[in-house]
Amino acid sequence: MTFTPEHLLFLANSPEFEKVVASDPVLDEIEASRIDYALERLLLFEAVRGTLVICGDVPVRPITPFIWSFLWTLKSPFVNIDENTEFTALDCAIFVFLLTHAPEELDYATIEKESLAYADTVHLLERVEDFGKELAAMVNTAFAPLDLLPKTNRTKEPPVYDADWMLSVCSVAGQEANFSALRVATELPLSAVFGYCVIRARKSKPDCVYTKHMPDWCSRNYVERLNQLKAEFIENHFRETE
Amino acid sequence: MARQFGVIAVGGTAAITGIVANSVEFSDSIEKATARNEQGKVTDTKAYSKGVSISVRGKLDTPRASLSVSAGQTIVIAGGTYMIDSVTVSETNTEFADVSLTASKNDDSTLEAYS
Repeated sequence: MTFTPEHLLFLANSPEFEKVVASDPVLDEIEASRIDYALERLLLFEAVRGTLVICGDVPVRPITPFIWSFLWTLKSPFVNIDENTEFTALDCAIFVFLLTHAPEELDYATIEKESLAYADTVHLLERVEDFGKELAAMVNTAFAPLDLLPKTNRTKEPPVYDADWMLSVCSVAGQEANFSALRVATELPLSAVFGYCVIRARKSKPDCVYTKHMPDWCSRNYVERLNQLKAEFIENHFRETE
Repeated sequence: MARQFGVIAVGGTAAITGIVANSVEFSDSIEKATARNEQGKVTDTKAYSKGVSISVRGKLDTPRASLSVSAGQTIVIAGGTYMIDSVTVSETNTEFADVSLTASKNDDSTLEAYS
């Protein structure tokens, strides 16, 4: 059904339609489905636990700002994941090595060799695909808090996670959490760091919408349901008035 | 406040879009005149104008490519028509934009959208 301006004005001025929209259980359900509770649990555990387990038996630390910047310098495909990204055993091995070793244990010159040796001890080479999926999921979890920020047009430039970026986010998170920037860089999960950055943004620009946005599929269902309610209401109204 | 449906006239009366508001906050204020006696004390106060402001957050029901909500347009919601004073956020990379806007109306003034 195509809605004319008269239809829409009629609906906006109708207290009965207001009640229909306010009490529709389907709209309630769609609104509730935008929250991914499994992801929320992961974020909680990352925030309070020092260790996570991936692939069933490999304990790792959450991604920290330092690890993320270091991965970026290594041109890891995990830093720019899209639907076509494929991860090699070495990509996964280096990532796992970073997640299991302290910064002072890392040496750029030998990282590939040491990573592969460590990968052997956790049987990574036999299950590269599983590691790739779980590590990519960790990246998604780390960036999830940024979904709270208002969205804007993204540039096509690849993001830069250099030392300047790392120090900037660590400085903000450190001020919000009352931690030193060094501790934030090497100990705080990236998801928590981004959470603190969102808190800072809320404080500095409170008139923006900082909320869990509906994914596009959810928005489409929401608007489709709304249009269905509009059409039903208009049809019923005009049938009654005929 | 419960979910509410409203409409925004986009670009004068050329186009119109629905908005599902998850939050509508009202505030009102008056403008007043006072009279004082010879000692400077206020003896009479008269309210001569009343304004209502609303703050709305919600989702537009029209895909973003076809419209651009901005200040100077009008919104009909919660039984009233208001002039949009500011649109603070518009999310531009989602199909159905979320917007946060403030709008107001003074007395029974006739509202004419910016054109």
